[in-house]
Amino acid sequence: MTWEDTKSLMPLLGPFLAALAILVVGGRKERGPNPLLPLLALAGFGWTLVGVGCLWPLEGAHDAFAGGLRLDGLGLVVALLVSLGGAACTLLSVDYLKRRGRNLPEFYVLVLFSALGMMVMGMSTNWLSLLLGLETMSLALYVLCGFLRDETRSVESSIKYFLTGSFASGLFLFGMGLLYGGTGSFEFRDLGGAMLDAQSQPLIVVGVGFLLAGFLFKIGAAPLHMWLPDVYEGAPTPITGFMATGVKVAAFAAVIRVLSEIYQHEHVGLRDVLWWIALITMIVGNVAALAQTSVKRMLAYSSIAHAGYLTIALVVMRGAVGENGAIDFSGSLAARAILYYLLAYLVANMGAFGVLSYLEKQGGKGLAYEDLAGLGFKHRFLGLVLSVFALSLAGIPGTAGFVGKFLVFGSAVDAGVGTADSSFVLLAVLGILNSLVGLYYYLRVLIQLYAKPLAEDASTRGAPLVGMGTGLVIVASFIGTLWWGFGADFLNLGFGVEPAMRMMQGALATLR
Amino acid sequence: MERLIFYVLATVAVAGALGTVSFKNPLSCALSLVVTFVALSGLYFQNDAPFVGVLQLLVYAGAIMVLVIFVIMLLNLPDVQLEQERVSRQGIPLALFLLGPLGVLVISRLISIELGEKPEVNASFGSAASVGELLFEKYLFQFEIISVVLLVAIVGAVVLAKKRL
Repeated sequence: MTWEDTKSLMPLLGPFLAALAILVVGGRKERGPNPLLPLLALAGFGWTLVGVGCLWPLEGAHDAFAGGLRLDGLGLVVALLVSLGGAACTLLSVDYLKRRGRNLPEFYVLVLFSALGMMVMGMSTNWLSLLLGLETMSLALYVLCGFLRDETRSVESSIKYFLTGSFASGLFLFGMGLLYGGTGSFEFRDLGGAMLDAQSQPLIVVGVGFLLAGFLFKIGAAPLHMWLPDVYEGAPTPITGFMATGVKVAAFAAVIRVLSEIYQHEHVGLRDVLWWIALITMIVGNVAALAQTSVKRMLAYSSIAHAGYLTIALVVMRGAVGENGAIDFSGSLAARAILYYLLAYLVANMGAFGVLSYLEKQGGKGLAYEDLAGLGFKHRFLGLVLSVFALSLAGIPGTAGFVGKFLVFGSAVDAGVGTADSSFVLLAVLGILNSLVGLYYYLRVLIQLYAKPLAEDASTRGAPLVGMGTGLVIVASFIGTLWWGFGADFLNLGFGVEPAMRMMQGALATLR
Repeated sequence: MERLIFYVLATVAVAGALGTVSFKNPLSCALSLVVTFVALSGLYFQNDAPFVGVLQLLVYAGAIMVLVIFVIMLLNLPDVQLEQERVSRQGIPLALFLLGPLGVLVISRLISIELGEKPEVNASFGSAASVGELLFEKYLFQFEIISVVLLVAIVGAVVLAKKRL
């Protein structure tokens, strides 16, 4: 193990050590709610943030552990986003679990381990590491979904996620096996060359198909999205927020890596498949979200729609031909757009689920649209932030969500203009039309908040004071949503749209 | 002769796998899984990987099967319950429609492989030393991450199943 190998472990060690520490400290005989435990979890995520800060910017990528783990910009950005999401989830959970009477140390352990799995997914360039990261993440999330095991919906969510998720892992594994048969290697980078080999091509095409199915399942893209609404609705609210964002970050980073190999040879026709998947996913997510009566369930369906928008960027991902004839995706506008979109989605979504976790009452009630009626006047700040989060998710200018959507649709237009093929531009137009549909259900939240009279039993709603952790997450997400939306970095803190864009560019510079 | 052994072992393995998914009694399923494991182990021996073959016998056919059978016996499922849950046959045409092309593709590829003589391997192939080297050198990181996966599974099982935490 060289020093470089150790360096690549830096982002991962934080959550790992924190989880072990919590298991040891939390396992004592007198098991009450221990305020030290969430702090330990936060320290673990803090370690990752500091580690990423120390390693950034990288001079070059390093394949550590004989290719088992890759230390590069993309992996670091994934670690950064995941640990932000994980820290937010931890902070929200402190108040949430206390109110639900199930404040157990294992919760934080599992959040840390699932974050660890996501980071491994983001840093892996071979199928084995990817699968193990995926399994670490998924196993922890299956349990977290059912953590409120006295509530039927939580258990239902867990079982549904476990059964369908294991099936998806099986698909993934089968695809992996076929690819190994076709290429004789676990490395992503051997995929491109082997695709030209007529002998192994059938195996690779089928293998990629299975892998794609596994990925699409995890990000909740249609037609593999059926599990998602029920799972998201039944899971503890902070976990739903973490699942919607963290899993997407990890899975999309891995897909970017895989596609940058597959797209080396254009004849595979994967773009056409993804084109239709993006379109169907957007339509299914948006249309189904229109019909929801619960805000949490609406956000679950809208997460499907967001997966669709992100898939657009996967379809149009283009690279420049490098010196050695290989296509270099490090300058790809679409890949950068994906990372920015994920950042914007992370802050807005964690914030929105933060507000929901505060409003939620026993048994998962209190999250229907009607329950928000008039809340904007009663809790002025809560109403304001929830509106901003909804507007950001809808993609209204001035919020981070707008910049993300602008980049995604812009990259599609950019890839399509000047070519004879109009399908990319068409996809961008369809995406914009879809986000108009999305506007309807996001604005319904605002209408409930400000245009409806206060419900009668409103006095009993929620705890009188927002807990410290929840408050912190909501305020931080609020600031982030606006800051990454308003372009100019007017305080010069290295924080606005431009610095974030530079960071995403730096992340992709070491892709291959 | 060698090919004959291969076909016998392969057929037994597939038969065992079919039995695993088609028997009604969970214990029969588990026992037919043992058949598959043993046949696979034979295949490893045949392919000059005696250490992997022994591991297959010890770990899968031995330790893991004991666990599986333990769980089945502890759960003590009544037969009636399983009898009622018949697999619906409506899904079969759809499954054939979806998986048929895939099967044709894979099988046609497999048939096209030239069956030649088994390539010579060096003496250390499949030995304990070379397996250990792979585990602790090339796949060290993956090896360690698997222990995290197992830890997550243990913590998760306790959280979900233990009565009083």
